[in-house]
Amino acid sequence: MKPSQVRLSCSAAALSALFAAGCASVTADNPDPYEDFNRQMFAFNEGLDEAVIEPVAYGYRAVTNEPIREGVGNISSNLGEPLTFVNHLLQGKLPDAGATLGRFVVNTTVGIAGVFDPASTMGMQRTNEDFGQTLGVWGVDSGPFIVLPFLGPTNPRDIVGRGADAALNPLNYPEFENDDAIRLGIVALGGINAREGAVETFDELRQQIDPYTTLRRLYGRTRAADIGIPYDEPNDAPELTDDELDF
Amino acid sequence: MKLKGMLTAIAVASAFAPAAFADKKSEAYVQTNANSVLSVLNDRSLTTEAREKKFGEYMNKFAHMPSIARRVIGTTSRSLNEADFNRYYKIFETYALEVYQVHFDQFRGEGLRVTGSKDDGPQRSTVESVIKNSQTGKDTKVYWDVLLSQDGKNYRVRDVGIELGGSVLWLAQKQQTQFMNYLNRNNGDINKLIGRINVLLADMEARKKDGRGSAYKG
Repeated sequence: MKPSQVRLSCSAAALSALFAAGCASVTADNPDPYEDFNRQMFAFNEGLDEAVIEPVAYGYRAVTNEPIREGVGNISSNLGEPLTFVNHLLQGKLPDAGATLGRFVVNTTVGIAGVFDPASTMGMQRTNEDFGQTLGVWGVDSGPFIVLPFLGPTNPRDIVGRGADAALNPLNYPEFENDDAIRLGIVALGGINAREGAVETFDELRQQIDPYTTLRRLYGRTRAADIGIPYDEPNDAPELTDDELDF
Repeated sequence: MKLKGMLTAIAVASAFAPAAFADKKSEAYVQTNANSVLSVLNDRSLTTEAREKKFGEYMNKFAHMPSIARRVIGTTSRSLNEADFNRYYKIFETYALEVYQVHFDQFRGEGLRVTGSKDDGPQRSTVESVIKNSQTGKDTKVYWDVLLSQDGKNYRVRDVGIELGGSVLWLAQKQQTQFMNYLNRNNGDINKLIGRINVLLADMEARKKDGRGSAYKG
């Protein structure tokens, strides 16, 4: 399957998921309509992570040092700059789009294919934008919280965003020998690098009374902060009265 | 004329209404006690054990932990007998103090400045303050949900909210969501919750012993 076909099928899958997700909606009485399904997927992902992904991340940490991991992280971030540029444009943030373009040019050339980040030293700070954020800025509601197998926490808005990101990213279009394998390798390495960087966060998550609830809050809060909107924690629990809590 | 009459009545009623709770006393209460708690965390003359003990003492004076313990399990607390509540409270206190200490640790050595307050009801107010995050160097807004006792004699903090990325993270509320979800998933069985907290406490202890430090990053 060629990249264009992969992109099409990804978009179709994203839209299907959105359609399916659209069958239930978030209400005050039911802030997490897919909770049972989500918890099963969360348990599946946790099992997979503990059995395979986390050991790989620890192995990666053992055989690399901080500068190498930072370089891999920089490459991964640099490859995401064109997508950030497009999304800045779609959100009407022209100065940010210009800065992102500048970062990409500087880091790809002076920073040797993005291994180093001289643009930050020059005052062009990194920003991350994706189409899920763009939809949020446009006022599209996130919809219910969903945990997908392998992919983790998300929501219908971000599922569509992921599909659109694949289509919008200009770096997905050039075709060359072994292009799919190279792209897959870059994504896999970036993913392992990111998982290594999140070892402590996963550790903290697992030390919560109810890790699933924490994951839902973290995801919602982080995405709301990315978009620049307030986040309201789903909480339909009846409160005790002040009389009951008197001291 | 009717409108003018109503406005006059409201103005007269307001003049004779009880003083607003969000007064300088609740602000002073937060100012003094929050700084005491933070100073304990920065007291290098204390051993780790002594610091934790003193932190617990200050927190108990500042926040009334039994009320927080009740609040985070919500209506389940109504069905607990005293013995069950005490069994739960004993480990809740240890767990909660550990978590709060990590959250407050990001402000270690910094002075808190109260910037104002607002009424949330006859017995409650939210005190707003600003404190520098000693790890990031940035000013952070911290909110204190203060409850006045029914007899009007004592103030206690019932929750602390830390502004993160444009939203406020209320610590007790965050715990409440988790505790109540956990109880809901386990038919309200307090023994299962106690078991879960014990697992986490055992892990905290193991981390202290092998030098890994707390899993909670604040």
